[in-house]
Amino acid sequence: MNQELILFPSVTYAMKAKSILDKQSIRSFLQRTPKHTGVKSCGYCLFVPKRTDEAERILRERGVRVLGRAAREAV
Amino acid sequence: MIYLDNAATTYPKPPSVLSAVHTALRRYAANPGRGGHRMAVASSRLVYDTRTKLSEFFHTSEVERVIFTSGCTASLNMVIKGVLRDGDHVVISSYEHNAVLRPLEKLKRQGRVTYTVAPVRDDDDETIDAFRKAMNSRTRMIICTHASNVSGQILPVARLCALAHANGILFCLDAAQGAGVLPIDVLRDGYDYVCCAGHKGLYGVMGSGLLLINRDLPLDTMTEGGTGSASADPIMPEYYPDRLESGTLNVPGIAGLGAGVDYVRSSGLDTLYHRELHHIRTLYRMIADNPNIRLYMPLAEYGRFAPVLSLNIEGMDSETAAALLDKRYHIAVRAGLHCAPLAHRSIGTADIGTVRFAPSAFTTDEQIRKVAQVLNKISYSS
Repeated sequence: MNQELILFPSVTYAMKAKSILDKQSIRSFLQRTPKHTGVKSCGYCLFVPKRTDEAERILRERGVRVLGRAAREAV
Repeated sequence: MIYLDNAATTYPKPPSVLSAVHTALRRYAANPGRGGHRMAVASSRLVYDTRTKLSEFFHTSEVERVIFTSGCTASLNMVIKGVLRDGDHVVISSYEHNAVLRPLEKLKRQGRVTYTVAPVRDDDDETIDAFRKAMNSRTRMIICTHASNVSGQILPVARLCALAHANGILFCLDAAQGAGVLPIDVLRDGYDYVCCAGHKGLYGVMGSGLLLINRDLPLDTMTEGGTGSASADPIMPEYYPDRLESGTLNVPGIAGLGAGVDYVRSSGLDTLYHRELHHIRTLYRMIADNPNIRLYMPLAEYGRFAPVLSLNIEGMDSETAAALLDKRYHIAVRAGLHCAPLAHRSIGTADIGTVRFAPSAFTTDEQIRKVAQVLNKISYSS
């Protein structure tokens, strides 16, 4: 299962991440973090259908707080 | 009406600000950072975009360290009560507003902190020296206004910040009168905390303000509550802005603030400053020879003064003069102590206050000439 969701602690980080990825021409879509990801509390994530590993690496390098990765659908 | 009470809050607001507030209430009316539905995301986007805009305007390092508050007073309280620990000492200037003085005095009376007021001098070197002498081994922070809301004098804040850092001390800038009028570059000048009103020189609406944090400095919370993040955790998140933004944000106010900053940027910060100081200089020149008008500062030099002029009319207390200007001539100004008793003590007006004139981007030359004529007229008849 592809881990196409990148998880963030807050909407600010998710939007910051989206802005960074937009500049890198990496498409992403903001959404609430689904329950199946195991994140116990409210949060937002980006669905990054392609270049997800690259996206996560770029975001971590830019100091964006990333909680982790998850599959888009529950297994 | 001729409105010259812009140091309290600017009026009128640019039409774009009114429009942005209205649009926010119609189209971005969901709670940002909470829901996942389209309007909630749109609202979050508006807040984030405004945060980004402000981060660029003030040149902060990271967008998440732009904190939305209810005003400059709230921001200053957050810094004072969030940073200081028992036994700490603070140095403030003799031009500080009650938004700085009162929180510190409260902590002092609780036996928790001490503070020293450093006198502001005409000469910047002497002011720096006064701050240096006021510091001691327990000094944790310098808090200093960018410009006096009474005299208009600009303080050497970048140099004071450098002095603080050279001694391992934090620096907090009270930019209530500076933001939107004077250049503020957080990264270049290294201010640790910058507190701004949103509704003054930034042309936003009342109830909007900012706290800019330069580095990942720890700041304790004053208010705890829902942030839309880490909700299962019973303690506040450590990351900004959530740590300091519990409760629903003032989205219409934030939208207005964003439009206000756009207005300042498109008008040009330097253009606005020069235009407003030109008004102050014109007013000054038209009344300076009048022996019945008492002025407390020299003719405002560019770069040395913010666009504020305080005066008194001989034989008339400041409140009476302001009431007369309002009732008979429809001129709106502020009288009294302007919530800055320290500043009035500094210029010798603690007992009588002053009448304060503060133009904005919307003040015209004709209005200033009219005000000068009225002041000359009533001063000779008082």
